Amino acid sequence: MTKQRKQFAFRMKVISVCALFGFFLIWYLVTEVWKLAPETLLPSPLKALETGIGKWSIKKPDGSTLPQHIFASLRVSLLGFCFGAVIGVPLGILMAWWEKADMCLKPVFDFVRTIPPIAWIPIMIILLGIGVVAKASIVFLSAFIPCVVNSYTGIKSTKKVHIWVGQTFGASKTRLLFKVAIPSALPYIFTGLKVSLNSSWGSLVAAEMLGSDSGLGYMIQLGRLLCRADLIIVGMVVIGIMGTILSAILDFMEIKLVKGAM
Amino acid sequence: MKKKKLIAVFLSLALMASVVTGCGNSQGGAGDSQTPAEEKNVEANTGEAGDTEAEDVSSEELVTIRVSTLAQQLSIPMHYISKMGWDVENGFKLEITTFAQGSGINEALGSGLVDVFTIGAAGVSSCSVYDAVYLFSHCDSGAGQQFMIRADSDMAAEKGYNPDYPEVYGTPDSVKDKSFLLPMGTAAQILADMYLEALGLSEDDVTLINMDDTAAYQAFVSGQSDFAKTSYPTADSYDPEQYLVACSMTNLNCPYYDNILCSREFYEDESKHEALVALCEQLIRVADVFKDDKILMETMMEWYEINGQACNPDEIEHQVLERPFFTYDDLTTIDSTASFKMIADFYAVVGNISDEDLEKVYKNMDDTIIKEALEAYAADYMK
Repeated sequence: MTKQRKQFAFRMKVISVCALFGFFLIWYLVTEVWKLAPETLLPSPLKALETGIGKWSIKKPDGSTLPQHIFASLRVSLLGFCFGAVIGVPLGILMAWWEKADMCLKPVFDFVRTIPPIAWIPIMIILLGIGVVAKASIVFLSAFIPCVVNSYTGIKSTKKVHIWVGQTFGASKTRLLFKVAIPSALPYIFTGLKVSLNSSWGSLVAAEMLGSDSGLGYMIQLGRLLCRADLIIVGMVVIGIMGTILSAILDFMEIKLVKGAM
Repeated sequence: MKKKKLIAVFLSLALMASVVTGCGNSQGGAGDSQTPAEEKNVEANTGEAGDTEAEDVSSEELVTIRVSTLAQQLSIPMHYISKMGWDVENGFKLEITTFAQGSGINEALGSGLVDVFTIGAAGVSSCSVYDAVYLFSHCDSGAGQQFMIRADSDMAAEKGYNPDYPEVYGTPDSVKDKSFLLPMGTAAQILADMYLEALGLSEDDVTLINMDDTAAYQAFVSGQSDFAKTSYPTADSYDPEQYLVACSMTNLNCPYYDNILCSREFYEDESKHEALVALCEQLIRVADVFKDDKILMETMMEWYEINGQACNPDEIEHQVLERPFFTYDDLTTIDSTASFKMIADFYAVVGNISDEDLEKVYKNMDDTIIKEALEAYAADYMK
C-alpha cells in the first residue's frame, strides 16, 4: 500500500469515528442537555449504557442476561444467514449461467422475494414448529434473496470479451464458469453477502416473534411491552454492534479473496 | 417556455397547499392511527347528539376527551357513550382512537396524545412509567383467560391435585419440565405462576415461551408445546374433545379486571375535572344499560364491525356475557382495585417493575374521581 493510500485510509477511519462520536453527542444533547424527548420515550446514551452494563449480569425483567440474548440471536441469525448464503449464491449463479434454470426458477423467485419474512410466520409454525430451525428459516428467507440477486447480477455482468478469450483458448463451459464468470462476479457476490447479513439482523425481531424465551429481538419486544425504552435501545445498539462486527469480518474476507478489492 | 412556467407555478402551489394542510390541525393527536371508522364515529357522535337535549350545547363549551381504546369488549362503553350522544349531553366530547395493543396506547400516552384510556394489565406500566392515574376497574375479563392441554396428555390424567382448586388439571410430576406458550409480561404470566404455585412448582421448573394467543393456537394444534394460553375469541377455536382447560383465571380464583386510566396532565387540569367525573358517571350508566344482554350484544357486534372484525353473534354471545361490566352496586360492594394491585405486585415480584415503581403505581391509584362519579350517579339516576 502506498503512503498516500495509507494516509487516506487513516483519514477515513478518523472521519468514521468522528461521525459515530457526533451521533452519540447529538443523542446526548437531545436527551440530557436540551431534554427534547422524555426519558421514558428516548433515554440518554448514559442511561442506555447503564442498563446495558446492568443487563450483562441481571436477568430481570426478561429472564436472560445480555450475553444469553446475544448468543441466542447470533445462533438464529448466523444459521439463517449461512443457509441463505449457501443456497442463495449457487442458486443465483445457476440462474444466471444456465438459461433453462433461469426460465424455471426466476418466476418463482420473483414471486417469493416480494413476500415479507414476517408473513411466513404462521406457515413456519405449522411446517417447522417454534424451535431454532423455524426462526432461522425466517432469517434465511430474508437473507437468501440478496445473495441470489447479487450473484445473478454478478454472473450476468461478466464481460463478454473475457468469455470470448476463454472460448478462444478452448475452455469448457464449466471451466469458463469457475475460472472467468465466478471470479469476476465475486465483488457482486460479496456485496450480496453483506446486504444479506444486514437483512438477517433486520429480520431477527420478526423471527423472535415466533415463540422465544431469549434473544435480542425478544428483549426488544418485551421492552416495548413493559415500556422500557432503555432496554429497547440496548437491544438496538447491540444488534448494530453485532452487525458491524460481522460486516467487518466479511470486508476482511472480501479483501483477501477478491482481487483488486479494497 | 410559457408552458414550463405554468407547470412550475402549479407545482409550487400544490406543494404549498400540501405543506399547509399537512401541518394543520394537530388537535387530533393520534390521528395517524385513527381508523376511518373511528373518524366516522366522532362525526356520527355529533350528529346523533343533535337528537338529544345536547343540541343546545355549543361545541365550543364541550371538553374534548381523547380516548384510546382497544378493539375488544373492554372498550365498548366508550363507543356506546359516543353513539348515544351521552358525552355531548354531559358537557364533553369523546374523540375515540383504537389501538391494537395496550403497548401502543402506552406509547401514545408517552407522546401526550391520550387523555383517557381503556386498558388491561399494561395499565400497570402506564402508571409506573408514564405516571398515568388509575381511576377504576370497569369490567371483569377473567372468563376465557386459560391454559389449554391436550386431552390425551399426562396432565389431563389427574384433576384436582390441590383440593383448593378442584377444577385444575395436572400434578407436579406431569407438569414439571413441560413448556408453556404465553404472551410474557402480561396477565398470562400471572396465570401460569398461580397454576404452578397451586401445584407446588415455580417458573424454574418449566419453560415459558413468548407467543401471543393466536400464534400459540397455531403452534399448539400443530403439535408444539404442552400448554397454550388462550383467551376469547381464540379460546373457542379449540376443539373441546381434543383439548381441555388445564386452569383458568376463574378456577384459580384470580380476579382479572380491565381498567379506566387517564393521563396525569388531564387529571391535574382543573378545567377538565368535571368532564372526567361526568365520563366516569356515564361509564357506570352504560354498565347498567349493558345488563340488558341484547343491547350488550348489539353494541359488541357494532364495535367489532367498526374495527373490521367479522363475528357470528351466536358464537361470541357466551364470551360477551361472561365478561360483565361493573355496575353501581358492584363498584360499591366489591374491591374493584384488587386485580390491578395484584398485577402490580406480581410485576414487582418477577422484576418487570422495581419496588420504587410499585410504590408509584399504588400512589397513582386514585379513587376520588370514581367516588364523585358514584355520588353523581346516585343523585342523577337512582332517584
